Amino acid sequence: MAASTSMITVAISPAASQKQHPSSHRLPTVSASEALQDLQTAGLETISTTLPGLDSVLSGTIGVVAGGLERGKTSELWGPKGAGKTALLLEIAARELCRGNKVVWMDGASPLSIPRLESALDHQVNATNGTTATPANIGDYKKHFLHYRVPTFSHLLALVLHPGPDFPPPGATLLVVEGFHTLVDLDYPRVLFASSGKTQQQKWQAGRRYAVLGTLIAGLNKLAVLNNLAIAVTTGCASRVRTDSGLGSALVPGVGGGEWDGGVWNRLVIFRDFTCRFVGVQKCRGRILISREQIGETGKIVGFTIDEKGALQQKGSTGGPAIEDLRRKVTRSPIKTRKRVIDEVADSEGEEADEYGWAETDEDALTADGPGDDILEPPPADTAVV
Amino acid sequence: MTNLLSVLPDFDIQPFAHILPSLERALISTADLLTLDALDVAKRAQVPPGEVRRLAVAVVDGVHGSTSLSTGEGVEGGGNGESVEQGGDGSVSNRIEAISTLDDAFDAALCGGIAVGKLTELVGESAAGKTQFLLTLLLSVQLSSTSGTPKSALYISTEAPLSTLRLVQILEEHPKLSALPFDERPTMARVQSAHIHDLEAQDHILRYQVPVVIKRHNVGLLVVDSIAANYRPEFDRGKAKGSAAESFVKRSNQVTELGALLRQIAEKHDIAVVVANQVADRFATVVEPASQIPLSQQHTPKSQPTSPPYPTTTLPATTAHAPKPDSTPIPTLTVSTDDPLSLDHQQRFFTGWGDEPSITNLKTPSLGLAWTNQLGARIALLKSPVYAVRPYASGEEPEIEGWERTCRVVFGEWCGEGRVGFEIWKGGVRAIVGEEPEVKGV
Repeated sequence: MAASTSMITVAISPAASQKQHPSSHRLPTVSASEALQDLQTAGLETISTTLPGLDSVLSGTIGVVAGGLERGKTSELWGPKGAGKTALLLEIAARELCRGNKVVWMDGASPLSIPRLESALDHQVNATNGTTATPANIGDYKKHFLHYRVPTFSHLLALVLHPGPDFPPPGATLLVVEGFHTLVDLDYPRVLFASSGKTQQQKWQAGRRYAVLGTLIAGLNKLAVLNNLAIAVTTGCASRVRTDSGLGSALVPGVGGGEWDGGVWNRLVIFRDFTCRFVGVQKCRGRILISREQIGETGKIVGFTIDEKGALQQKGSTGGPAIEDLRRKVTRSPIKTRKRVIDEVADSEGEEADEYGWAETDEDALTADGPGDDILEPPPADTAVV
Repeated sequence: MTNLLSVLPDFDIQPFAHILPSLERALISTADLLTLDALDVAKRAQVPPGEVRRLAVAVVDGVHGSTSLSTGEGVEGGGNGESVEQGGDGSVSNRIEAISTLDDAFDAALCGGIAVGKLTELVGESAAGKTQFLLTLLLSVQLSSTSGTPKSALYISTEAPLSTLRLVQILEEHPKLSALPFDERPTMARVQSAHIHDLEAQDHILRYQVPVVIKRHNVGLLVVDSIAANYRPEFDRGKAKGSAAESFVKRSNQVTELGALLRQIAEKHDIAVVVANQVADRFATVVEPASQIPLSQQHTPKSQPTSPPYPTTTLPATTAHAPKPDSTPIPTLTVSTDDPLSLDHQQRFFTGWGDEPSITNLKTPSLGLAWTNQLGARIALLKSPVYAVRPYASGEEPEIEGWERTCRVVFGEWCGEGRVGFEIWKGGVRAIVGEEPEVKGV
């Protein structure tokens, strides 16, 4: 992926690489050996999560030095209220600010409380330099913290899908979208798929939620790649009844859908427990460790606590490779393909019957929605095609 | 496009008035317009694609123009409800604008008080002290002023009307209020009250009439006591058509919209919105004993919450805190239960009741997870009985001598968690002196 990044940067800024004769319509190219060299020297650019255990879980392969949130990719953090998502993202953002980079922060639900940013900067200045932060320092860092308030979903779509010329600003390494699920739920509330008497318009509208999420994740990924940003999105949580295993309800990500899940590169769940808080890694570097159907599974966990000043402290992690808990794997019955009865088979002489069953499958796609939608959808593509 | 004017209140719809009705009939929202290709939209709504493109471009321009960008240092575009005071040497005040609770320990637990511009919930059983707390806030907000005029408060009741006698008593007896000179004291005249009987009236009043009152009376605090009351009769009524699942989804959506409306009122008018909520009992599943082996190798069977729930009074002490075993040579990290993401287990942490395994008598705030997701902060008022210590005859019920009350900040966007013990007295509520408030962290 880094190789294609360097290709793209060459393509959009040809003046940077070579002087272009105005009348020569040369296509700027990079030779494969140069691209390989770039890849080897630059490596993966990642943003540390400030929790070393989490960094190493996210790095996937053993031996890659720097782990964390990859630039050029989108990560999703979900979990219940008060679990620590914002706290973690603030520490990550503060660390980036201390290293001289810019951070773009978009508030979906409610404006960020700036004193929290200040105390996160305090910790990170301490952590990186070992000195206490002076107000002047903090003021400087805060100038690079670009804070957008996005009150509606349309605002977010306009900023991400139709970005202005100077968005995101150069030098930005991290983009955070907070409270994303509240925006989605307001514009596209969940509907039960079996709802009564729908016109064709209503059926179309009912399916829009997942289609728009698909468009949005594609747009976010494009923004991330073109600008070499790491994007982190927080989605809250919803609850789902687990009828298969006979257990009670469990928490699931606030935003779902096959396309959304397929487009996200990492998915982390942040939740609390009696002794400390945990981050569970459910999807890492494009590989699904815990699929959406395995409701209630946390994946590999890293523990942390937050002290009264807001600083995060790691508390140990489950070492070793991620083992999928086989006994709790939900087995799904194979999806039945629609079979046509023998006498329905169309003759070659102009029968009205839809030969390939397209109309029927369209109906299925339109009505497959609502709280049970996970069950009706085919399992998402597990490996992201890079 | 029904939400176009709520997305962009200043948008000029005149040039597009001829296509908007068709777009509405085709159920195309503003978000659809921004994500779909103009040709698709035009085909659905049967309008010329050129016009759709123009409208889309105008909407994008409008959004870019209206989005306020602020740096961490200060506000460039629109405001975001905070007062950032700049000292002479560039230092910035560390406090968010908040309404004090008139008690130092409570204020410390809340990092200043009830934040302005956010939606805060006060939840507890009946007679837990919610109304006492709210009455104190109604008086406290009047101590701050905008451009010389002290702020007022708006109290919307859904069950019992505002108890004016108690308000007068607090005004007279509270040490901080009675110490003020006469002209600076809060008055009853600056507390407006209204009553809402049902859900439709609630929506209409909050959406259209409250903003007018806020402007007219310079309101700084909106209290709704309580938010759940109007929902109960609506959804207990057995509906002829529509399954339980449908009405549940419908209620979730209504609650989401209500939360968004209240947060928007708080942010747009720069006021604090405090909402009181009721609780219902919940039975907790037994916390699985944490085994000594790490999570990935556990084989203990899960507990079954769908079987008749049994209360946690029989919880053995060994299940309390032991996820990190000291005896094994390699310290491993385990979660305390097999099913950490179950709603039952997580509810212990975001409802305010149950975050120690030994706590019995668990409560759940009404209106569910959908409402919890809307809140900016949740303050839970817990009470547990204190039994008289004396010899009891066999079979005699223990006598309740009094109540031990705790105020817990469960989660907050501006403050960390914390707890304070408190008592109710004639001057309102006060934290129990001598007990240091624990501020556990963000």
